[in-house]
Amino acid sequence: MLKIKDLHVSIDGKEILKGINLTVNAGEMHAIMGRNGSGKSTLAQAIAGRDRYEVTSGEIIYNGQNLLNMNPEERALEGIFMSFQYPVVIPGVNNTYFLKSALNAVRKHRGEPELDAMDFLSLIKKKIKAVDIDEKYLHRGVNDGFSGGEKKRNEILQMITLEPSMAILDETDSGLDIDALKIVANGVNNFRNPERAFLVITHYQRILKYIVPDKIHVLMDGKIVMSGGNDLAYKLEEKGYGWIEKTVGTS
Amino acid sequence: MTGKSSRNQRTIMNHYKSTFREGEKRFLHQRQFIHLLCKDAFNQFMEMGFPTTRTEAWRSTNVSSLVKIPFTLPNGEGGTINKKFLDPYLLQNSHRIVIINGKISSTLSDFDRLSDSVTIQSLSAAIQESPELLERHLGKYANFVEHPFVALNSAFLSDGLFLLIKRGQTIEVPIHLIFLSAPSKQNTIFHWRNLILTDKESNVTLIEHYIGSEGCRYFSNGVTEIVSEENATLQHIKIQQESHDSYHISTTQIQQMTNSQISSHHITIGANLTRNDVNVVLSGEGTNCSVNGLTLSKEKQHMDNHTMIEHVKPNCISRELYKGIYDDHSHGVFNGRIIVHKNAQKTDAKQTNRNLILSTNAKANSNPQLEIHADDVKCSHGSSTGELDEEALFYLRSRGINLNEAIKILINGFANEVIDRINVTPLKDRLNHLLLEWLSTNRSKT
Repeated sequence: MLKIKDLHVSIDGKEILKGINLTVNAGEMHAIMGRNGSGKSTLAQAIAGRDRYEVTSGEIIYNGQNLLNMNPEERALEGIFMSFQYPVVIPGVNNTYFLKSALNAVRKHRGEPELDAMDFLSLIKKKIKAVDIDEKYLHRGVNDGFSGGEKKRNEILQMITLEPSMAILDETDSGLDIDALKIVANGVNNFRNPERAFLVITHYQRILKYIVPDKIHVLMDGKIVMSGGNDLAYKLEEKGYGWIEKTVGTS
Repeated sequence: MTGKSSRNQRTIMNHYKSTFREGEKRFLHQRQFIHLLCKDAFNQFMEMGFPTTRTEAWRSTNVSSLVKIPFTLPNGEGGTINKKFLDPYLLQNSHRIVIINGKISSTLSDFDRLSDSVTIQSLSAAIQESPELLERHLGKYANFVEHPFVALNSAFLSDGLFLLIKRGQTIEVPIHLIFLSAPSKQNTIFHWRNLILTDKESNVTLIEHYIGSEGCRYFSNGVTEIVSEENATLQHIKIQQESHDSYHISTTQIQQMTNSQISSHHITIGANLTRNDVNVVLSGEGTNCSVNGLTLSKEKQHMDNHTMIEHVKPNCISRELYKGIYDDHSHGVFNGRIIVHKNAQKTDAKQTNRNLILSTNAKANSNPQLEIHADDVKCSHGSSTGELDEEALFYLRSRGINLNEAIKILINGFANEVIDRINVTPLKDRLNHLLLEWLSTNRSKT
């Protein structure tokens, strides 16, 4: 589904990703782990298509298409979804209106009829239950007055509403208490199916107790230095990132 | 002042002098207090002349084009207009008063259902009927000593609108005042003048709506004085949708008595050059005011909003939110002053100004001024001017919303914060529609 080949990405002329290779197949869940500053979020933003993340070489192939030729909205319409590490607060833009505009853009692209206000409302009322968001948040500005945990749940709400095929969760676990973490994990697990793939980006092993990945990759200084199964997360928890540094050496 | 501009200034002052002298005979029919007001105001105007950009309050607004044009008064006949012309401006479910070229139009107005809880009259009729009440209020709040255009307006005060909401009356349906400039000749000046008294415990929504017919250049120079008596509640909305080629200068002077509640919203879209002065004096304890502005500016429009909130008594709250959107070569000014007097303890004042710049050639100046003479107060102000938030734009796009649509949603959201504060649903819908229209005529160019 997603094939990243020798990806190099710079921000303001500074190289952050230094040759990433990664393949994620349909139905798989991959986790990217790494310290702050290792390039995890850069990878997520580059896949989603943020302008200021400049791809200097390499490619990202998604379902046979070259993602790098597409703008962010085209990527989203094709089924790429990134849950933001820091969801953006947009006062004045109604949360429901935003969700409905996004869903209808996606539906239109898939050749499905757009939903009117009534149909959308009954759909979204079901969806918010899954992520335990109070109805009153639908009437607020986008993420306006939401707590940290509510913002993250709002991201998951968007994901299960837009039904992407490739979801990237960028530190969705950070800042969540254990209850909120379970709700988020539950939302993600219910959303898993053989047609969908996930890339879970995290600093800590904590979320991986609830969302069990098929593969774990450790990112260090812009490169994947180690890949393995789920047990890698426990090793990391126990021995810390320093252990990996020693194991792979400084190249 | 350069030789040429002082020559222009002399020529124009002579023009207004002779217009004033010609019109002086109208005083014969007027009460003495009106005569005195006009005379004092005129002398004051002659002394001040038109402001230049060296006058502090006019530093960012150049009115030299007004100095070059010898505007003349309308013929005093009012005017006629095809009713269809009004259609886009009408509001469902409202009492409507249409004033054309300064005169109330009985055919286009519709306020029969208002009954006797409200007095609506022309100022001239009110002056004849209730001279004492009028003498007590008219011209007593809007200060012509420091504002040349208030002086000019007062000097040529001949008629206008008088509105009295009687004691204890709640008017459920909004009162929509439409001021239409439909000059029959080029370069007409309209000195709109309104006196609005909301008596004790009354509750009303008033919409002041300025519109104009295209074709003739004109100058709307308005003064509205509002007195909100004890425990009165007023929602006031001023919409400026003047025609393309016009000038709009106005002063809204609000006087608030004990425990009165006011929200005053100022939507500015039309005219080539606009200057709004909104002054609120909180002169009774426990009063509460919310003053908001939304300015949509494009092409070469110039829009200047000057506000002054004066806390005179203790325990009052003021909230102010002014937002402007500037495109093309337009220019915006926000000058917001809050004065807290010495004994206005426990004042709670907050002012916010946000400007959104959509074109590299557009600009906005923001100048908040806090003047605090009391020690136990809570005052804050914030101001920002910038382009659309790149992060928010990416957020919307990353959910599949295309760039143009995302831009529209963000601009709409920016403006909505002000529109949402208006509590008249059909008017809100109308303003949202106007905003979309404004956006689509703009965005299509880029």
